[in-house]
Amino acid sequence: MAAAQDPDARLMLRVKRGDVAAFEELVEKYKQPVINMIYRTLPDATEAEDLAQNVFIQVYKSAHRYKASAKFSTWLFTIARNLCLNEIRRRSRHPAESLDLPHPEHEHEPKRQFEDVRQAGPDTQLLRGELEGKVDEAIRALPENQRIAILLCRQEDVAYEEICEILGCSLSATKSLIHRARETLKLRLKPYLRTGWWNDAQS
Amino acid sequence: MNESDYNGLVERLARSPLAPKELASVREYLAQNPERTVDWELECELDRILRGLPDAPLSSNFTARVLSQVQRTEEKERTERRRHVLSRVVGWLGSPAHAWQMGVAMLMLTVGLVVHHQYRMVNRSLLAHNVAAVSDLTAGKNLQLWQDFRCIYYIAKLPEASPAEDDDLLNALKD
Repeated sequence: MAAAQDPDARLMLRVKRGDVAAFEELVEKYKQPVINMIYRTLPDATEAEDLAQNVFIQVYKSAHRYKASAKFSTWLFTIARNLCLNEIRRRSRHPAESLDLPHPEHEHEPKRQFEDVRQAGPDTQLLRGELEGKVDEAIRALPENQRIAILLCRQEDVAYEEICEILGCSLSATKSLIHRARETLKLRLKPYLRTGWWNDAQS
Repeated sequence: MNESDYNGLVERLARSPLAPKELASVREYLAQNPERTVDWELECELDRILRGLPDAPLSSNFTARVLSQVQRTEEKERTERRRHVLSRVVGWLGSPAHAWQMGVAMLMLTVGLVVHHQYRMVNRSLLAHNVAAVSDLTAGKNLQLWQDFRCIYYIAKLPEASPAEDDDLLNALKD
């Protein structure tokens, strides 16, 4: 989709002119995709949410520099990726801090309100939780670019060309990253992947 | 279907589910290459798991928190800008050379204002005097008097005279 036809780019141009309602609309639309990408990079939900928050604050602060030369989502996910990488590098240089201490900058913010979305029975929940835990672990263990590539690949409305731009790679390099990530995940998750069903399904 | 086409479909599977026609092509390919069946199943299973990954937990007031933080950031930046401008002005005034220049400028401005005010006061006084002089002439009944500015000028210089004497003077000037 040409940037000029991107409704989100038009919203962002309104944000550039100081329209807070347009910014709120963008946050509502992209908050889940952004945190889906970040959550499987950082091990903690609270920290992932803080980083997701910083992504949007960075978007707002950079609004005056925004140009609708590409899709808004490309720009947004590029910021998210860069902040993820910065955070990973920061952690590798500094020891882990306590997660229980409130951050001084966030003392005045409204407290977090999490909804309880669990609906399955306890057994199913346990199995599902175990598999999800293994999948999350396997994804987090991937190299950075492979992880980001495969997480962006999950989102059907993000084209390969966009993923290339976000990662700063060529199309063939991006496809190679996704392929290698999938091969690694298949290897790690093999005990949990069901086989022998294809021929049964076809008969 | 050859291996390249098969690999293309495996790559497509990572983005979106395959159409029935495409699945039929895969079926044919696997019938001829049964050793690829397990790999195909692993791809499908991985795809199913990745698609089924739940959304990350997100607080219900996330947007409100972002807007609140944005507002605080803006206020902080405004305060910083004001502080910066104030410190620059104070720094500039604090310099002896700048203070002397500012003093001279203020003095000149004050003198200018006073002179202008005086000029306006004098002008107004002169105007009032002239209006008073003209209003004295309106006591005369002869309207012809107002058609000749020379008459008005000379009559204004004369001491106060009776209307009869003014008529005599007017006739004399006409001659």
